[in-house]
Amino acid sequence: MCRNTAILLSILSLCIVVCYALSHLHDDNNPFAVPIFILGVAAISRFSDGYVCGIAASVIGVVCVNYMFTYPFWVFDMTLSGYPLTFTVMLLVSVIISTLTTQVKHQQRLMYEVKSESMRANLLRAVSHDIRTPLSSILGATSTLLESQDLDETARRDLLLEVHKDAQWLVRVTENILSVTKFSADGVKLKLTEEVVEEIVGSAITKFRKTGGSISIQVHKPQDILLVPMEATLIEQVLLNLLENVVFHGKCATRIDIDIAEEPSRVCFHVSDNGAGIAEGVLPHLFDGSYAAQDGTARDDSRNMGIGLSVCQSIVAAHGGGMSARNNPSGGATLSFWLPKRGGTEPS
Amino acid sequence: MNVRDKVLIVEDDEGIRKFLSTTLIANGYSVILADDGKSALELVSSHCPVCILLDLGLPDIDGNEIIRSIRSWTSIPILVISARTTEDDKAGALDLGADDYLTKPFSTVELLARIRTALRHARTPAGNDELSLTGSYHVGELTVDMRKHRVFLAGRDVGLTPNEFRIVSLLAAHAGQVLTYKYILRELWGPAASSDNKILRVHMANIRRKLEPNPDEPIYLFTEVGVGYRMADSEDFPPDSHI
Repeated sequence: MCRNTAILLSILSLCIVVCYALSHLHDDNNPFAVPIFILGVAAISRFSDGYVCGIAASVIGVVCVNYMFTYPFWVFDMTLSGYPLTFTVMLLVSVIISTLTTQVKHQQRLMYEVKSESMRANLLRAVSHDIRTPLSSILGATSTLLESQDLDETARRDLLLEVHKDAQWLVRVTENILSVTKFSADGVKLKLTEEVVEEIVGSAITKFRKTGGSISIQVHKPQDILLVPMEATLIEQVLLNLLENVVFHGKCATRIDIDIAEEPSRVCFHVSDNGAGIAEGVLPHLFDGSYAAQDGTARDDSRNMGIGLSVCQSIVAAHGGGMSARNNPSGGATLSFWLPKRGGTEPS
Repeated sequence: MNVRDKVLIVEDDEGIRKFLSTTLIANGYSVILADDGKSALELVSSHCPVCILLDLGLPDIDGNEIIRSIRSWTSIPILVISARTTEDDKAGALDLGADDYLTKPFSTVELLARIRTALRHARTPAGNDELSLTGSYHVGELTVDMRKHRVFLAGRDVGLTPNEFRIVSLLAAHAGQVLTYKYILRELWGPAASSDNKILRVHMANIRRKLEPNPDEPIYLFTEVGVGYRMADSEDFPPDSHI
């Protein structure tokens, strides 16, 4: 509202100033006044929201032209011959342009909604895929345990282990979904605090070890203690997802390297492994969740690929950073993300 | 005959209650159950359990209210078990006087370890037996010598600054328990300490670089991200582990 009023006032005053300056060149009826005000009304309708400003501008414009720039000056003369025409033209211009502008804005919003809707749909598809598989396995295993009496101890134990593993898997999926709800709800902002980078990395590794990750991890960090504004639990989740991603998809990976690199305006984290690498066809879709959503052939090895990495992507984006993935020339893959050093810019 | 330690389980979900009581009974505790806050408060005063497992999301009374009310008259260890996941919730419950915090889902191993830690602290007011007897705290290869103000790793002085030592000794006195940033700041720099914990973090990073064999995978000083720090205790070094 404030913005609209500001636009209205500034453009109208500009018109008045211009007309006033020009009126010194022409002593009689100022022939520029009407087109200049029509231009002004058009501009106001274009840059303000809704119709009100445009219509108000045309009314004020007609009054100004009549009062200040038409003979007799400084007098209202409603009987001038061109008056109704001028008024109608200005009004029409304002209404037409306001309508166009409003339509364009509406269309843009629709486009945006469609885009975020499809992102959400992708994520939901990935989530339900990630949940359904372990759930069916849990259901199957438990009903076998309940119904078959003649299972031997090893078989029972195997089934129970499977249930345990799947339940842990579900916990991971839930953690990921939870971390997204921490910031994707409307009006929720990240609570950024300055965190010691190596502490968060260490904590992520500890969590990774707790869930059974046994791959050797080397951390390469700068000598100075780095502080970066972030929401610590979310970045911890990103790191944990990247580490687990290696376990689930790196196949034969035997070591992980975490490189923390400080640059003038940002801090980069590279998580690389010496595993099987990422199929070239998958690379471009790695972070948008659409890969897991394709389903079908990608059943088991797409586990966590979809939701885990797209969650990373949205967390990093919410911090004003970015993510990328590439295959190493020497084998294996590197997934990287960076965070801005000074207070993350809010994404639009 | 051994008298079993009595644990009060306050939990409104039947499945979790069952799993908790089965686990505890199988591990040598006796169990009393409450499914809401009101009966929990009654059972605490009538049965005097040695430890309380408390779910924060109860139907009648807010869990934090229960902590406050129990803390007003007794120091029975309270272990919060909750599905609430924000770090502020955890820190809030700890600052109110809860001894520890487990977020659902958790493993039984973890649960039993935390109960043992809580009971040990409750029984030896000085923090832990060893500390009160010898004036130093040992865990793994780490020794915190409270008298000489030195910290040794495998017999070698790690060379902490006085401030760093104060942090380590505070954590050692409460080994096994999570201390919130707020608590540590208040204990070390007084009630007027700023709530900015950046300095504490930097100290902590320096401490880790000095006393952890591998600072990237800490085994003595753990971070509870967004909540605080915890010093390892004997539970983190089970006799059969390879660490």
